[in-house]
Amino acid sequence: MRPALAILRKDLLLELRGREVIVTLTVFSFLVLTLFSFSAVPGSAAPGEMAPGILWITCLFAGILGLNRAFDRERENGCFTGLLLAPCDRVQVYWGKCLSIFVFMVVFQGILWPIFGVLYGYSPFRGALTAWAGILLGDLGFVALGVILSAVTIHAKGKEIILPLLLLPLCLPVLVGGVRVIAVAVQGGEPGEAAAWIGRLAAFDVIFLALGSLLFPLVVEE
Amino acid sequence: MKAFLKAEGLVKRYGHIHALRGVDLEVARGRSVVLLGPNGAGKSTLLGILAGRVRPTTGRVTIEDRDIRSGSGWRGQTGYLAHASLVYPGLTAMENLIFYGRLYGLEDPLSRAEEMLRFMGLWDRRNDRAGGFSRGMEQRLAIGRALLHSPDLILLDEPFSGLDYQSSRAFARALEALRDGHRTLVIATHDMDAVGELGEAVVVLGKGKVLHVGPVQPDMKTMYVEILQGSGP
Repeated sequence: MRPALAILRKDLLLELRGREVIVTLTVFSFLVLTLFSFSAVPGSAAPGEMAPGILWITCLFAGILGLNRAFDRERENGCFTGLLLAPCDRVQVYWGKCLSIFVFMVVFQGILWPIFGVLYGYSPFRGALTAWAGILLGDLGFVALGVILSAVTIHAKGKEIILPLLLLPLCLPVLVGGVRVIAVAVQGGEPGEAAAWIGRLAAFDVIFLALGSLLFPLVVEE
Repeated sequence: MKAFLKAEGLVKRYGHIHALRGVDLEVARGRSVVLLGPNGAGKSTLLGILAGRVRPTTGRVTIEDRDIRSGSGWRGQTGYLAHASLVYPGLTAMENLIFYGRLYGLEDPLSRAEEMLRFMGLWDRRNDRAGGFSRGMEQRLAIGRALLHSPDLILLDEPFSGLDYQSSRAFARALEALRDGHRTLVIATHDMDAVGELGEAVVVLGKGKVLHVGPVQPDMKTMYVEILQGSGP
């Protein structure tokens, strides 16, 4: 795991210095959540009911921005090639990038969570454990898919368009699972339903991570 | 002499473009080989395959009889200087080398980074971000990165590009010092002055094929032109 941790450490250092990814994701997500919260007819319950979906769609779009920015850093000066030249199994590079983008996602969602509560009228503490189980597992699945697809499209023309077109349909299980867990956590529902969705999200994560680990070394060679 | 590095029947196609058309190459341990050829001859593709960055369409590369596609450990024996510098503009020179040292699993990345920064004449700028470096300084940092893990096989793609005359001569002398009979060098360059300084053997590539293999001659420039003219339009 040392090479993967070295990549995480390097990405965190670059982020602490530039604060590009987390600030961009947080500001973007804040604006989207705010716009949605004002979009409903006054007095209607619609935004509140749709809040879990709005939160996850916002996180997915913000996550795509984050993936693009994180891989832009690797494209500058051909640094991604530098990672691939390391004498370690290339799956370590995959895990390293997954780890760093996962950390970025969790940090910006940590900032976003209380804002989401205020805008949509939920206590940030209500069902927080269940909701965060869904968020963390959803993030992991998103990152597992996002990193492999970012690696595939890193040198593609129009990658900013290609990446979401490939990633969003594949993220459907993560989106559905994440939305259901948050809905049960903040709006109430059968406790068994949240547990079932958490189990499914964990299963998706295992599948996506295993596929990513298998495919990454194959797709990164020219 | 037994080959340390051996390439057999390397073919590389990018769609309908043939970058390499069946290249064979043998280099004994400790030897220094210069790759010459016009732009588009296949020098960078060949170095990319030898470094494991590019997968050949057909053919194979062995280092000490081990196929380089059979594992990842051999990459620790290989130092590759690419066209791009592979250094992070947002990190300082020191941070870049420490990061690559960790990635390469060096025991003491800090002292090795310090050693390389002194060797490449960047010690005074060690705490400056690479993004603020001139092309020549960035190239020196890139060379430091390629040599950081003391590789046995050094692959250099246009190492003198971006270096001023003094720096390129200083770097040529530094490379000369690396030729200790143990390290093997393969250098792609257009700098004919460097051929005599660095190479024992020369391989001329043209249109993805090996046109000539032989020892470095005193009048290499004339010979090179004759080889290219003889290869047809």
